[in-house]
Amino acid sequence: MKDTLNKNRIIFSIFLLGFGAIWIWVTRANPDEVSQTRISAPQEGLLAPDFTLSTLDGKEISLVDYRGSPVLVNLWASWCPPCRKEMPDIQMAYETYTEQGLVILAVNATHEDNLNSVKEFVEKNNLSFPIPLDTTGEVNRLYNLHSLPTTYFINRNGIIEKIIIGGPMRFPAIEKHLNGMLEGDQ
Amino acid sequence: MFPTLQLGPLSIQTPGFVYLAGFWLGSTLSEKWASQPSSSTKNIYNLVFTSFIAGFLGARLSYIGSTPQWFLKNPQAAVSLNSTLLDPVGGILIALLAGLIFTHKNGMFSRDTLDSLTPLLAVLNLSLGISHLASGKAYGSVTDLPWGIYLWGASRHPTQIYEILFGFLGLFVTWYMIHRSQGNSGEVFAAFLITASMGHLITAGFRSETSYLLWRIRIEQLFAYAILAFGLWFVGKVYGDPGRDS
Repeated sequence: MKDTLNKNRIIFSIFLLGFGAIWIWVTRANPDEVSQTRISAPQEGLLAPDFTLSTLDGKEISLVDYRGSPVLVNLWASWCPPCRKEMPDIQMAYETYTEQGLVILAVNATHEDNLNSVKEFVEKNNLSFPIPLDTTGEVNRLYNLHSLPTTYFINRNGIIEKIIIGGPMRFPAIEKHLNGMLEGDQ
Repeated sequence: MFPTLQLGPLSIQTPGFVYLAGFWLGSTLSEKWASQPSSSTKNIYNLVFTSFIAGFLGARLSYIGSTPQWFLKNPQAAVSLNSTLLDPVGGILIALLAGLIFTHKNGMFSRDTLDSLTPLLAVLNLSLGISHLASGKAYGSVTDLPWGIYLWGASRHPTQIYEILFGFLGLFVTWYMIHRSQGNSGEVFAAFLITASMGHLITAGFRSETSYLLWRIRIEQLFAYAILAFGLWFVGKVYGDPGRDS
């Protein structure tokens, strides 16, 4: 009786391991499908949706213009406490990594913010990276924004590597996510 | 997809909330079902609580260890509740270590303890699928099958739903084994391990975003396969030495 049970258990184990091995082989990753580079959506592993906005100093910028550089897109508002708190750390990351090609676009949710408050905050904190103004809420909709702040780490190929919802994000956390992007795809 | 829940001015991250709720529900079930003599309700509660606290502290300490200079300049950040300053891998390792030390010290190092902890693992396994559904992560590859869901610009395999279904299967198997237990110490844990690893092995095959090794073999599937092999080996141990080893 015990021998029969053991035999059945061995057969069951061989079946499961065999099935598992075949399944792993059959469902191997397809690099073309895995990268999904043609599909643009606000999710990790997919192409970051493109946008064109005017910045606080009147220039027009498009995300696609920065293809080839690692980009950090931070969606924020001047009334949002965690956004205010993390901005000096983002500035520190910009100063530390700008020579390595890092681009920072701090997209302000201007449609639900006060432009004077934005200017005041930017000046007070000496923010030197571009501040695109989302006056219509286009980027909020495009990026399915649920919470402020939200930060997107976009690699040199325009693919979203990491999304951080909420904050404040501190310098070591920013650095940790940037490091892989700055090293990779050089 | 609901990556955050807005409660008035409070923005709660749904995946984190799901894990916490799963942890609470799972540990309650583990305490409830801890009927074996060596793993009394109080001991299981203490084991889970100790590991949780150690894991949380460990995640922060591990993070501090990776960037000590910054924390020396900003010491207040070491005690902040900021979840971005946690290292999950370090946290899990330290939680496991704390759990091992606790079980050794309290004479709980046995297969009975693993059985008692299985409901917690089963609920956490289910929480993983629910959190993926909430955040829209771990999404499936493009498909034209009728049950594909439109997500992130394409019709995709609903991998998060597959994960949840396997999560419920794992929970059902755990419940069934506990109530139909033949008294073999470790059989509940072994059954869950095999079910959960098979679930992840199958589901990962439908994922779009994935990391892979040589011959494009998916890392997650290899990991699940290793757990499956361990689970099958463990079954042999359970039935080779069936007595309660308390």
